[in-house]
Amino acid sequence: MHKFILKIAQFFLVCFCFIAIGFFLPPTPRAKTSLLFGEVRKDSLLKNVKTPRVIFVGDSNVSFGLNGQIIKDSLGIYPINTTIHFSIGLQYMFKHTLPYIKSGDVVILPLIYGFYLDTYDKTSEELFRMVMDVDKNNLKYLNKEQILHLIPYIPKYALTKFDPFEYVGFINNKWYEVTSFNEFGDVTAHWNEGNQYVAPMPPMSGSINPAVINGIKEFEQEVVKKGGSVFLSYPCPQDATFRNSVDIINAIQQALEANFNVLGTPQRYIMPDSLLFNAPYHLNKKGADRRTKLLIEDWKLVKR
Amino acid sequence: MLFNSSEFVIFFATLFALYYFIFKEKTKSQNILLLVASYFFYACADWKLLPLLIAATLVYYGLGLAIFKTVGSRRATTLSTLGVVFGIAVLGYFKYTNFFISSFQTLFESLGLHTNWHTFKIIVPIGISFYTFRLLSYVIDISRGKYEPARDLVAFATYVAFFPCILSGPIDRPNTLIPQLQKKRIFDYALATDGLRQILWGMFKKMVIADNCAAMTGIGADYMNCSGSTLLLGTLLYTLQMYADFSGYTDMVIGVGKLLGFQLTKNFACPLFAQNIADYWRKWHISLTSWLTDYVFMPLNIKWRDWGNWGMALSIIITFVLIGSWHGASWTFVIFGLYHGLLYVPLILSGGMFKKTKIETGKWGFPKLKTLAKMLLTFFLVSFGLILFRADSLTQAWNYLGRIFSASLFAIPAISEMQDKLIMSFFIAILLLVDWVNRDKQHGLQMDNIKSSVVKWLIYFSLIVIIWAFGGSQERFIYFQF
Repeated sequence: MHKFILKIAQFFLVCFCFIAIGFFLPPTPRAKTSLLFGEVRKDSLLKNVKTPRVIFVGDSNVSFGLNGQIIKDSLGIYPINTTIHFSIGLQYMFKHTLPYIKSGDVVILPLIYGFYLDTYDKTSEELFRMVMDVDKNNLKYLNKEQILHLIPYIPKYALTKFDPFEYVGFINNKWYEVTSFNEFGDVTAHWNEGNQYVAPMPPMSGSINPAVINGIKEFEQEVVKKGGSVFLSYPCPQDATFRNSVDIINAIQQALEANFNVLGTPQRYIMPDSLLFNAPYHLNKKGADRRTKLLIEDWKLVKR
Repeated sequence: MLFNSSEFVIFFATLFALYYFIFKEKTKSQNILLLVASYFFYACADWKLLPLLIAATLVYYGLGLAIFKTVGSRRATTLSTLGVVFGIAVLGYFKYTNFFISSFQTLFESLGLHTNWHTFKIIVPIGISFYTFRLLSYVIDISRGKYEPARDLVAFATYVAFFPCILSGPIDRPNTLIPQLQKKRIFDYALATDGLRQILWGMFKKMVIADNCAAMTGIGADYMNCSGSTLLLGTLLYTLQMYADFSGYTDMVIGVGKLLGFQLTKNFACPLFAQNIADYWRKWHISLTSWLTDYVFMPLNIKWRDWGNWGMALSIIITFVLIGSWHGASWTFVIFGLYHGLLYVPLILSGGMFKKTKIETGKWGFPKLKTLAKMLLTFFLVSFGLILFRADSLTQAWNYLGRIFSASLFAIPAISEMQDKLIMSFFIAILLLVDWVNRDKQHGLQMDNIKSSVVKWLIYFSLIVIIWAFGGSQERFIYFQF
């Protein structure tokens, strides 16, 4: 038994050393091409673009569903699309955006419906990499629980550093790369591609998480303190996906209208399959144009 | 609590410490500990149905003793029949009630008769198919005078609920496990390290092969929009996924058993290298196949022996329809069983059913062309059967097959993220190669012929790195649903 315990201890010690080395090695070339690194350029936009400007915060339904050029041309204000990935979570997105808010900024949150049912301080591999690979300073935006929940991602993350395909011969998906975004932060790499078949998402289950509503309220208060304003908008779901979860979406609409300034209605943003690209919330060029125009119409209505 | 989860590691480390340090060499105490741990493990999966498991254990414990007292008499036969009927009734109620209601409803409606029946909200107890078969074999074998009943209730209850096997087998026979529970168990270094190796190999199969294949075979509702070639590739990969998932799980189970000092029943013997369907079922889910052979096929075959080969064919078809139905209450499983039963018919008629197949190898130790062709044919036949196995309905299975054999069969399969798929192919090749080289051994990582500990440790660490770096997202084991 003594020998067995000793061997097990040796084994784990070697594993630990391996993981420690991997953990402290710099991000791999493959990781550096990931869309998460899009944050660096988006941060630079947030830092350098002068007001008036409109900032979009949210998930890929916005990065794959907006044409900033149309906003700029029709409203004369510069749009900054900060959105990257749903899994990064609202808590991080808000905390990360707040330092860049300037007086006069308009912040629009066209959040995917799943956000309202999910945990507010979400953790995921994407969030882990946002901290470890993109910028270690991002750690300050996480709370203690999130940091604890990110620990299980360490072994896998560390060991990818020893994967040769992370260094040579890797092929990334061109729609999810750091270079997929345009000067406003919209994903445009897929605009000349054909549509893919998009299976509808199954019905959503669960109920609205009050922590999410409170989190948005807190964010709104902080933005207002800095002289900005916040509006909520709706995502652009596939028709069939919308129909699968219409009851929950109605409940979300009621909750939002009761608590926030809201642009439009969920029904206005329903998209037919012909305007989708590769997922129930990812739009092609025509879809992105249509969604942007709808958003502008709703914005003008509020401004009136 | 999945075997490859951190919760299980904590659970098992605690159990292991108590088992070997606190209750060292105290068989009774060790068994009580195992029983408590097994009930805790089961309760983590489904605590509401734990009383059913305990009640079934007590009923069969009593039945075993009562049958043994009167063995050879009509009373013993009556009691064992009662035990079998009770077991099947409980299993039938939980698993098949709704299936029969909806099937009869469909039948009556097709005859123009209106019914007002409703299905029930029945939760199928996890592992019921596995522990019911353990209990059935217990009373049948006692009534046949094969062995004496267990007098030690704790040992018997531990046999029924033994946590490594409770959820998905193997279906150990009473005479395999109960004697081991009754004898003194001391820590065996060689057995424990072999167990760890088997767990590691099981984790590789499950997390690297099965979980990654799951991402590629999950063609789901949009299958009609996939090309025939994509569906065919998905079908073949699902066979690999199924094997890696179930045999990986079994390797972990047997490995955990070894760490606790038990030798559990071998459940797989490289079925991917089977040369015909009979050979396949001798190598796949061995504990279930041998159970049904002993308690269904053999009695039927003896009863119908006067009918010659046709009697045997009928016996095998019935056995396989039962094997199919055992997996679940759906016509797809029934037809899956029938399909396999029918595949046996040519073998029976040609007298090849019981012939032991020999793997003929060539110069480099690889199979000869003829052998390889037989293996591939069997692999394809099994893969097509699994279309029924995973389909939601017979219509879906039929449409899926129709889509495969459409003009798009010759299109290039739609494979996204090609690089990941290439890495996956490499790991599948490792699995097949290791299985091939170690096909006569207990598991893929049994390294009796490697003497260098450096090489051994290199293999362990390589596997750990591969599992951590390339393991897919944690999927439930496919056989948990049965």
